[in-house]
Amino acid sequence: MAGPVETFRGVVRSEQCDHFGHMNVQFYDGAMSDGFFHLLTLIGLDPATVESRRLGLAAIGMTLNYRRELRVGDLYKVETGFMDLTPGHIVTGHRMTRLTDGKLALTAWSRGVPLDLELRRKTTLPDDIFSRAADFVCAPADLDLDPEVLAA
Amino acid sequence: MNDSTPIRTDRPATGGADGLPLWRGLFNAWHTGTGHHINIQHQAQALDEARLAFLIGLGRDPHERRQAGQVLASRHLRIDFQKELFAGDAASIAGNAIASAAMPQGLLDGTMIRTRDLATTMRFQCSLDLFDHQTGTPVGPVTIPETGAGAELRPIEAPDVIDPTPEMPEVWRAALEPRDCDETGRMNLRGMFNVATRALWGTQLLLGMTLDTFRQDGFGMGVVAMQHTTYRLPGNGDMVVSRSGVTGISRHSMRFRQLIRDAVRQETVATFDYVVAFFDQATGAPRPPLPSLLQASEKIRIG
Repeated sequence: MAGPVETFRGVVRSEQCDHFGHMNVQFYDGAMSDGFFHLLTLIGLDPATVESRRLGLAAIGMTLNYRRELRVGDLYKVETGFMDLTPGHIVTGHRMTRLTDGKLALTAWSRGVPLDLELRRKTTLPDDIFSRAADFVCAPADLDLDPEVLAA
Repeated sequence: MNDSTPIRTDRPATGGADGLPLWRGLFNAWHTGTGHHINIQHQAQALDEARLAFLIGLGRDPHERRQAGQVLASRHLRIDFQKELFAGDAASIAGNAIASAAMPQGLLDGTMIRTRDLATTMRFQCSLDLFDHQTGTPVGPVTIPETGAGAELRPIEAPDVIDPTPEMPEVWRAALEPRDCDETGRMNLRGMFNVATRALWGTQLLLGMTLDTFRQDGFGMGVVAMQHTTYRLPGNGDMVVSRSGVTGISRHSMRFRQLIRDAVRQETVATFDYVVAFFDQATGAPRPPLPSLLQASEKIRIG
């Protein structure tokens, strides 16, 4: 079954909050960054494989839509999936849910490209990684995202 | 908590551990310690979030608890560290409340699973207790309904030393800052483990185990089990001191006790008992302690 997967679950900590009393935007981004690495592990790009095959990914753009604030003590999760996947280009979607009340906290999507870590240049996903990534392909609607984002 | 929407998690759900999903995250390069693996204070942070998540799952609102002036912590915590974690490792925690002979209110029994190979990296059991945020003193246990079954981890043998003895050198001293504390200003679990891990390095250094020793000899030491008791949560601005002693030596390991003390009030606020295993850095095979380590450890032997 293809589809998004839970990639992050945590509680908002006091050191993540700013003087407005809610989680600062850098930590929303941080949760999705950690979640993305979690998904990479699931498709076979764990740290040892990244090192041995000298293969990484680089984000080239990201859009975040903040829907609800998160305050200290709130439990939240992130689900992640690939909304568009080719060997040379990946569009990743994220949905953050505030589990304290089940409300949608954020949706986001990013564009990325595979990166040759030796040459520091764009490359393509090898077949085995691409094949495993296909297992996490989803539609924007699966993550409460507007289908139009793929046309952007 | 509204978490009824079916979610797809790693296969199998939560990484092979039985229990409720409590935490999922990633350990990054900035979480590594002097030993090049993830420092245990960051595993403690994940554990802290997992126990908060468990309470939220029971319907306890964290904002109501804070408004009532209460802080969640654990009077009793026991951890087995089974595998190392490295930068870039994804992991998850699942857990259940289990019955306990020693803790009538029950224990949260949790397991951390490393996503890349589904290996168990950490097993922990802790009581859930409320502390008063004005004073840091225990208010009472949180009784948790059983959600699973599991055997209790074997306690670490330790002498009942709560007040420092002359054999216990001071290995850490600092004032707490906001980054060591939760939102109420009470020391959080990561802050407590930060002191413990630095004080452990301090103890090792006093025993002659410097980074050069480890590099030159290929000798390795690693914490494999820990037991933590909290009597009072110190707060932002408090001066915290750690004093440490050796409580036992066996063929391939050594046991230590650390007293975490409030230096102004002259009281022990927490203890750590831990087992450090000796191994060969090249092969990972168990090794006996260096003779110099054995000799030096006799000077700080307690119990």
